[in-house]
Amino acid sequence: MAYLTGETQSSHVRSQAEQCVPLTESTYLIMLSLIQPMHGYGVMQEVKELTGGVVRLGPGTMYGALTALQERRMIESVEPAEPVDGAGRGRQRKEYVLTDLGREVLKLEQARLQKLADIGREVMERGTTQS
Amino acid sequence: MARHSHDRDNSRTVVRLFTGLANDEEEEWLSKMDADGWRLAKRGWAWYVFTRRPAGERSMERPIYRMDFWPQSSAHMDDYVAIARDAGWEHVAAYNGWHYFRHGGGASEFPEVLSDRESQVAKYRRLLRATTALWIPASVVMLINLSRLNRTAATGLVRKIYVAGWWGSAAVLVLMGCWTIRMWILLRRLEKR
Repeated sequence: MAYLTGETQSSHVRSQAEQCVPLTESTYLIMLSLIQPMHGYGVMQEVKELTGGVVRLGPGTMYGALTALQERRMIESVEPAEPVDGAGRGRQRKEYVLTDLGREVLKLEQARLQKLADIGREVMERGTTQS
Repeated sequence: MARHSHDRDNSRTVVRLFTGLANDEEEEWLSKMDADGWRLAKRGWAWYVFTRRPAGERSMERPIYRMDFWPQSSAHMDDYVAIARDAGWEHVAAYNGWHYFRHGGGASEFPEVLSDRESQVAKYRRLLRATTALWIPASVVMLINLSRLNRTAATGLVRKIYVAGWWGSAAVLVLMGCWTIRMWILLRRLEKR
């Protein structure tokens, strides 16, 4: 019975997640950073690092994305585990982390992008061998 | 159309009306004021209060101003202000949903508050939605005025006041209509770009 409820719940999450993709590039990268709890500015730095400085998010874009993701229940705010160090300038920052739905959305989006990239590579390789 | 209504040693009020349709014009003007030594401190309906920038704080780079719009100023705004501060932006003023951020300049820092087109579009969408929400009460007020005008037995001054009220509401409604249509066109253009 417990197994059944679990199953229904996960398929419910999955169908909800399907309505949330595709994500914008910024949103995808923000969600990737929020696999672990992190505060807003931390995410901005993480995205910059992940993309080698190619994608740099502004604070307004960051805040807008956090608000939208929270409204759509893909992330939730959590209490910071420990006081922020010197870089936090003495104030605790609100931290965010992916919800189960967020995790599912991220998985779906990653698979979708992977598939698109695979198709692209296949077609282009075919193109070069023919010419 | 800027008019200096009031000048003092350390603060200055400038009357100026921007439509909200082209934020870059307003941002550029604020940046220029700052470069001239006047830093935005407060915003009112059609006026801006500037304070004199402390001497010696002049940097080589020109300060940058950016605007964002969030109609419901909730407790969440604190979070925005904190993120912006971490990223080098100072939240200098807020008025009626508009938020003004100032960056001291400097080539190493990224000079945008809204760094992708999706979030820029989202800002104007919030603005359009907030204005459209004003439309409905405005229309109701006008309809009430209209019905009173027809039903009233008032003559003379009272009737004149009713008529003036009706024309006033009509003018506001038409202005808001023009603004909304222009904003909608702007938004469509932004979305397609």
